[in-house]
Amino acid sequence: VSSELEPRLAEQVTLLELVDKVLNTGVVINGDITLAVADVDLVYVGLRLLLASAGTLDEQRSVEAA
Amino acid sequence: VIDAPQQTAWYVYGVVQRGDPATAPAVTGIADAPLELVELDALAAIVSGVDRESFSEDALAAKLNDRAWLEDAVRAHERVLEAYALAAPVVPLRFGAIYHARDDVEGLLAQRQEQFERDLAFVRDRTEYGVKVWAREAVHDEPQVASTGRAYLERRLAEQTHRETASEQLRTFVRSAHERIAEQSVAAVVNRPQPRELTGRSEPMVLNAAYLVERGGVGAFEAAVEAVAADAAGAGAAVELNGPWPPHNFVGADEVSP
Repeated sequence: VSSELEPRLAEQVTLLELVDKVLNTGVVINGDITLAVADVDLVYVGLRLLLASAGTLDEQRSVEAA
Repeated sequence: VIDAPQQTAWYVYGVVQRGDPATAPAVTGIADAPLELVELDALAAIVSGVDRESFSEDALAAKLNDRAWLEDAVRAHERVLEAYALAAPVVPLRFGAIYHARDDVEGLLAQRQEQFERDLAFVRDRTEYGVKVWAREAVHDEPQVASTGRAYLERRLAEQTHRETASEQLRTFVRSAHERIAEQSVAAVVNRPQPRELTGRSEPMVLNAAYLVERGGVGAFEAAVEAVAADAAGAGAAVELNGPWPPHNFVGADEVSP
């Protein structure tokens, strides 16, 4: 293990950054798969989630409730 | 109660060389499940058992919209890959590779053997870093009261010229920033900038790039990023370095990019 590769707390990385990496990169497995996340529109899902994570949806909800 | 085998599905995080690392990293998978290896010939898939019902296609579609669930799962996926990447070359899979049977995971290793071995060789002793460049928002002075229509028009034209010069300067900077940084890497990928609605920042992201760097070249790479960052302010930009990451952006090269 080289010294420059410091273990990094995953908690320090924003959800956006992680979703961007983990849902949009990496080897895509398809074919003999039994459950295909790829069927879901990930960009749309990610967008909704991240808006929610930024508090936007919560704010909208509280405005609607008011 | 221990899950009966038929209630378990296998979630696949990534692929390593069989026996590498010699000691499995002390890390757990999704829902804190213990990691296991499914081995075939020279390869091993990093897997953990997941509840089959939670990971059925219907359940998953709903859960992807559950922020707390997704955050836990995505962090677990990354945590496993980071722990392995610290100890051995690893090929990250995209989130959501799930099989009903371990035999199917072996089937994946058999089917993609050449690609996995090529990717493992390519990422060996190399690390992924990310660089983002942000445009600083143009500073707008308080509008001056124009005495005449002509003065107003002249001011608007001057402002427009200024904006065009600034954006041309920014484009030139981003191009050269990427080139200077890429020179210190073995491979580079330019991703779509994240939109402002998602970053929550007022400044727009103008470069979202990933670089694969030799372990021995990290110092030179970081120096190149620092040099670029030092020039950024003059071009109306700011530079951010992130990483090290598992090599998410540098595997599966023979696939068609989405």
